[in-house]
Amino acid sequence: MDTNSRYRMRMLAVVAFSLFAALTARLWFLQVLTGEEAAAVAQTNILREIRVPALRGRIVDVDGRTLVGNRLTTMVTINRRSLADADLTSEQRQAMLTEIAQEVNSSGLLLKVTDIERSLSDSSFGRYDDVPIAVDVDEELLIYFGERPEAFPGVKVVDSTVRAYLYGDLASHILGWVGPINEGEYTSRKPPESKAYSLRDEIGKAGIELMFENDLRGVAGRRIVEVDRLGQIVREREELFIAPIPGDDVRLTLDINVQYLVESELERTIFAQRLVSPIKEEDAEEDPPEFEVPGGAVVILDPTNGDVVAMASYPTFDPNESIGGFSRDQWEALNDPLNDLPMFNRAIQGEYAPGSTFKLFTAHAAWHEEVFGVGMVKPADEPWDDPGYYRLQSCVGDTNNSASSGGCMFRNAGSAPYPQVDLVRAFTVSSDVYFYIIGESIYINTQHNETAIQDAAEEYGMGFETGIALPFEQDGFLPTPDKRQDRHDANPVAFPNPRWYPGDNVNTAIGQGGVLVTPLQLANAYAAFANNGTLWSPNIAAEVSTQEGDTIRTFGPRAMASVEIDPEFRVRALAGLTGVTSDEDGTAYEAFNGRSTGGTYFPLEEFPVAAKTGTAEVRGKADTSLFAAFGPVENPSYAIVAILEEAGFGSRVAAPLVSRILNQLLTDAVAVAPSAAESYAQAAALPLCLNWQEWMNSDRLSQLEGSRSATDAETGPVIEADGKVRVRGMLIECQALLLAYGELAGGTS
Amino acid sequence: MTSPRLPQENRPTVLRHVDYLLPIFAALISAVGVIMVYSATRGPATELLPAQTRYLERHLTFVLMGLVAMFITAWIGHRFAQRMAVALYGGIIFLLIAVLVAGVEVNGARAWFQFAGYQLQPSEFGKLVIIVVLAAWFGSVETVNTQRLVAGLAMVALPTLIILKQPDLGTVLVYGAITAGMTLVAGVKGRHLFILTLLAVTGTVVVLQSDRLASYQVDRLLVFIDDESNSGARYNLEQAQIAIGNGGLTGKGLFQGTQNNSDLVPEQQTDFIFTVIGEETGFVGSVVVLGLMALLLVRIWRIGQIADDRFGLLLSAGVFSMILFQIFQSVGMAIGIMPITGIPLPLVSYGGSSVLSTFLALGLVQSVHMRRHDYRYSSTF
Repeated sequence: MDTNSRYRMRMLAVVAFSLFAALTARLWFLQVLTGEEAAAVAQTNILREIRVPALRGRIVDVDGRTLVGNRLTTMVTINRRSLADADLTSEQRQAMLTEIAQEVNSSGLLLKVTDIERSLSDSSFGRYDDVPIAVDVDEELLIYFGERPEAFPGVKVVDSTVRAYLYGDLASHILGWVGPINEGEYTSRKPPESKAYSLRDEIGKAGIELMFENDLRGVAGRRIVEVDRLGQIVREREELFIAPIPGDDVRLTLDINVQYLVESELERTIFAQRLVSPIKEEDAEEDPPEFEVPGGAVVILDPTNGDVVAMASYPTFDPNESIGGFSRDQWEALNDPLNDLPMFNRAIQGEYAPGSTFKLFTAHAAWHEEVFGVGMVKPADEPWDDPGYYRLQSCVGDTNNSASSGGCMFRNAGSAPYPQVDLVRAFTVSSDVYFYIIGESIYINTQHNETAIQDAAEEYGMGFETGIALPFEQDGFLPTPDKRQDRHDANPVAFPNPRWYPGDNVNTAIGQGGVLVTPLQLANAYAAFANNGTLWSPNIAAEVSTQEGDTIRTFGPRAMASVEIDPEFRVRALAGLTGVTSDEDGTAYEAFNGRSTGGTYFPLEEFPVAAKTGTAEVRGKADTSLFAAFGPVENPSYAIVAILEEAGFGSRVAAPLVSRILNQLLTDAVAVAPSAAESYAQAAALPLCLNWQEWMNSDRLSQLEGSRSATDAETGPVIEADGKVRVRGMLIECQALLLAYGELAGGTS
Repeated sequence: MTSPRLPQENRPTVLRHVDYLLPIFAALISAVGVIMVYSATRGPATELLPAQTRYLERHLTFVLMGLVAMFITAWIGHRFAQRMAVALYGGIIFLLIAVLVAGVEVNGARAWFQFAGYQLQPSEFGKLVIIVVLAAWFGSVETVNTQRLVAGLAMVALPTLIILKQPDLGTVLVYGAITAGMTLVAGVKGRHLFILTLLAVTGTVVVLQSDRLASYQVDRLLVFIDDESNSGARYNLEQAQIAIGNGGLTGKGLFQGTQNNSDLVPEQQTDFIFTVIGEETGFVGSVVVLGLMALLLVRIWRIGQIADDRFGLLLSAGVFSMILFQIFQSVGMAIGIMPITGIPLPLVSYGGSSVLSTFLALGLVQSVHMRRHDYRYSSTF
């Protein structure tokens, strides 16, 4: 039949053949010729690398007590992309964020919708990132948000590891804090290759966290997962997993118990002194400035090796607030001068006039420059009567004309006369006049080096950084004729007077007139004198070790320089400084021999203490109260400096503070520092304990009603009849607690 | 041994001329399809998420139903279909209109009836009806004149326009391929063929220009020509080619395709099923599968050649064209030489309507083979 159609069927066969040939050729090209390229693409196509952050190393104190560790926390995050994909109206979005804020608030955390919006608009996060909006939330939120993903698009509740500062604000200036890396740090930091940063990694921002960043930071690991085209994880390639390596631990020289002692004593002293009214002198025209005492610092060094035993700066801050980022309000409050700059480490950043504590170095300069017995200066051992005032030898014309050199007349504090003063006694009673003469003579007598005082101070490490391993340390300042000229040349408006007068040298001799030191510098200088001439670069870190405890680096004593101290001078200076605490006329005698000024009955026979008070004038403000000391005199184990801003006499404020600290240190009576959790428990237990005490002291039977047996174990502290309070799983003994607070109350009265 | 080419006198009349290879090849291809559908739909099969067998079970059911339907169709015979051509045509037009009204929309096309968890796609069965109708129309005369050609085209145009309304571009293209193949074999004059080609090209341009097609369909078509047109469609195309290239010479192994397991290629159990074959069995496996399909086509072609009536010949040519075009389009789309438009790979892709209609078509073709000597024994017709 139809041969034509059969013939045409062959055309179909030809078409079919060519189509199959085309398919096969293309398959050959795709699979055989370019198959390997496709396979390579297919690999990267589905594999995603997920960084596994490494735990940060711990910071421990000298005895290995953990000061900074890591803890697990529950965090609420919002994925921006999911939120955007949900296509919410602004009302729906607002309602959702409000509900999130309410839920977070119900777990005891203050969070506002505006805070969430601010977090969500943080430009450091990418489009696909989960933005953390609240840290430390209740784990129950996981159920609340997790069960209704459609109502909360993109909201996740995740566990995450954050930094834990176990002692709260104790040593906060030393420990520092961490935060997300910023652009400046990202570009300027040169970490080891394995520890390279990625955006939003946490990085040390201050203190040890900053200085030992490269040690504390671990090496991040990675997970390789296969994902589908929506980015959902399909499975994990466990054979490609690289475990993170935790960062190394840093052991400090700090003793947290001593640190607690020092910080609590400093705070107590400041609080107490704020209540004191300055005494108005009889001939004064205006009321003296109030004792505002905005801040203070205490430094304790070990003079045998330069280790920092304690370093306190007031006011403090709680680095735990940095977890999840400081809120803007917190950050502003922490950096507000009106709040006395809580993040400012006064111990190394505060620059203060040293006042009379500087006389040790003036005397050192005078002795070694052989000023004694030359010109107006009497031999060191020859007593003479200090009339309480001093008229400059170089002064010509009207002695009361203050136009030329700030006056020709220099007085002791209160113009007090000191009979029969030699070098030793000049230290003990703190005769300014004695040092005025030295100061002027060194300058005007051409046979002396005119900057001998400043040079001596420099020998003791003042005027430049001590080299402690903490950031932002200040230099202090030692004014000299040359520096004054230089300053004037550089900026004639700010420094109109290029000239150096004998009066300037007189002021320098007693640690005034522009001399500035940091508390650490002063402590380090006294430590150098205490150990007979070794100037250390103070150590705050003792060693870096791995998590397994293998030591990587140790920081032994680092001698910066050695000071030549003539034994003849040292004997006299030691005698004078020891007299400050032990001689009845000594400026710190009261602080070390009684409690009237808040001092102690110090066991001076057992532990003789060499010390010097200082009261530095600050224009328009109350005096800075200073005290520098070391003890025991023969084999000193501690050098200590206390400086309190706008607090009055060194003998009245700083000296009793140091007396109390040293007393407990030298008699091994240092209490164990409470952790932040314990502090909280104690604070929470105190009102209950006061009630309990009242109940115990009253007729117990008739007041049985008053024995509240609180049952709300979930939310608050519970007290039992025997005076034990349970707070968050911690047991507080009322008796011990009240005793501690009773001591406290007695101490400050 | 008796030659299969000789009549088997000891058997019932219709069973004397069964082509055994046709169902065997169909069954083999279906087996490949079942495995590949399972591979595409089992999921990552982790401890948490055990392998999914829902698609496998359903597809297996369709294949078994299809095999049964093929035997029944072969038994009833293509002549019955020829007699029923008008009724079939009326029925399918009714169903196609009904689906526009009462159908469910899937992926933007209203092409399915939904009942009891199963979907029925009338346009799939429409392909078969078109083949039967055209074979009957062109087969009743020795030469096709202009009037008959135009009338035949009009018969195809009606259901085609309805399907465009759904819109289901892929099926429309299959209708076009069937029509082209059958008019060619039916004996259309050279210049008519030329005019038809011009008409087809113009029609395509008009369809693309009009807003009859959803924009995604135009995008998918154009990505084949213009890489910049649509990122989503280009992504699909890229991932499909990466998957096939990833297979290399011998493949990643069954269930081991990473592109497949990560679900990077969309519609992998239906339109893009060939990417699974390519990735998991490689060039060798792909060629074997294509070879099986070629053998099936050879059987159909041969049956057309030895058919003793014009209806049977044209029927075979229509089924041949349909399966050939679907293979070329579906595989060609996956390997990037054809535009992206959703057409199932015959007997392999998941989908009841497609599997059933293909088996029905093979049943008709089998019937052509079985009854090719009917004239010798019976003069009725």
